[in-house]
Amino acid sequence: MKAIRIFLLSLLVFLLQSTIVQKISVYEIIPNLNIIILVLLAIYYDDKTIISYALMSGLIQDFYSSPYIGSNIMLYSVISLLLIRFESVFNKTNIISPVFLIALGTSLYNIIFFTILKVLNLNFSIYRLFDILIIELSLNVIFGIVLFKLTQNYLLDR
Amino acid sequence: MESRFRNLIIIVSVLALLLSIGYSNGGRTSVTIVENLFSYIIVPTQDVLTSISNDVTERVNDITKVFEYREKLKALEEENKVLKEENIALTLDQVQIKQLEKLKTNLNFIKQNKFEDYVTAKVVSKDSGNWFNMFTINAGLKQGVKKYSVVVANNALVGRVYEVGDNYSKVITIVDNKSKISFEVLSLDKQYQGYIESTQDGLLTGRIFEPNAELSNGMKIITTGQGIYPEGVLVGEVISINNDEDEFLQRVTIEPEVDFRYLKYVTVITIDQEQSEWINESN
Repeated sequence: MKAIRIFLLSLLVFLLQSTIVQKISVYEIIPNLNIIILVLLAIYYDDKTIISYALMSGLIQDFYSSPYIGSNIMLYSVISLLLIRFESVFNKTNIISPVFLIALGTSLYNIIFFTILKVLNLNFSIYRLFDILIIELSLNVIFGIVLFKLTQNYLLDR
Repeated sequence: MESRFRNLIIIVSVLALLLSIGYSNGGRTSVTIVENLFSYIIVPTQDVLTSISNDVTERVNDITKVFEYREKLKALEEENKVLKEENIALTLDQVQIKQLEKLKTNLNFIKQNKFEDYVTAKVVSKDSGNWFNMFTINAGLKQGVKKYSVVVANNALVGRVYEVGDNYSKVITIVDNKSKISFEVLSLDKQYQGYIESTQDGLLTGRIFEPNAELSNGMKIITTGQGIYPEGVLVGEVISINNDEDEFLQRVTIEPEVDFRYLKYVTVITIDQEQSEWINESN
């Protein structure tokens, strides 16, 4: 995928994530579109596209929405490297692939983020992590399956 | 060899990013030119998208509540009949009148606390993740907002400006904030002061300086004016009191007055550059 397309996709996802997605929260917890897009890119596109998207989306999110510069770039990059390792063993047409990869990405993102917050001496309870993990993971899986089904034919025919 | 080089790059990058996280902890004093440049596209787009999604949500809520309102109306009519009868029978005694007068004074005190320089701003977007209660407003340096400017909504404390761009600001709420808030408990006959020592899961935990303070749930908490927050701004309400015998000072749990989920507009109390720099240095 061309760099400009990756940038525009990152921008679009950020705009949706910071505005419209806020309205579909469950117990004030929202899905993470970036993880879903990363997984779809990992299934259908090359390694360079996944890494580029991870860096771009992480940078935009850190600049305009995060209290720490670097946290999302690092987390999305780590997730993308892991997805690259795993995606080759999965079947592109099987629904289990995105479900497993989204669950893996979401868990990793929140566990590492929780660790960073603890290192920075911020007071978040382990129960908050469990709440976020359970709800965000469920939402990401639901939205991931919908997006996977909607884009599957188009991306396979590409 | 290539694999080792790649691993080295990854390790160096992770370390650089960790340093960046540490450096930006507490908010940067200024944002980059690139961030300012793109904010002229991002912030107005977020404003439009947020307005549309707010509008749609309100309409959907209105539709779903029609049936609920019909049931409630019936219940309220019944309740009204009973209350009218009870109202005639009830008389306020002297203590209650005194309490009401005191409460009235306190509420006026909060309402009359007008700030000289302020900017009203719209909430254009919220934190993209689930860990913070941060949001972005459509006012920045050009509108007179500075880092550490205090943000309020409906006379209640929201938080402070964390980072400022030309036409936008990131606001961090009191429940995400590590800075201590000095507060006073609104009481009828005594003044109890304390400070917020920690925040957890959307609630604030405060310590009261007076060991034998007579506290009860529902008491209102206001700022004292020490620190960056101005005097007399409503913070929240006491929802639980912890009288641990091992601890000398009483601990209270406070629910913030502001429901951060439904914020649409906020007021930013502006400060001058010198104040902002002074607070930055003292932190």
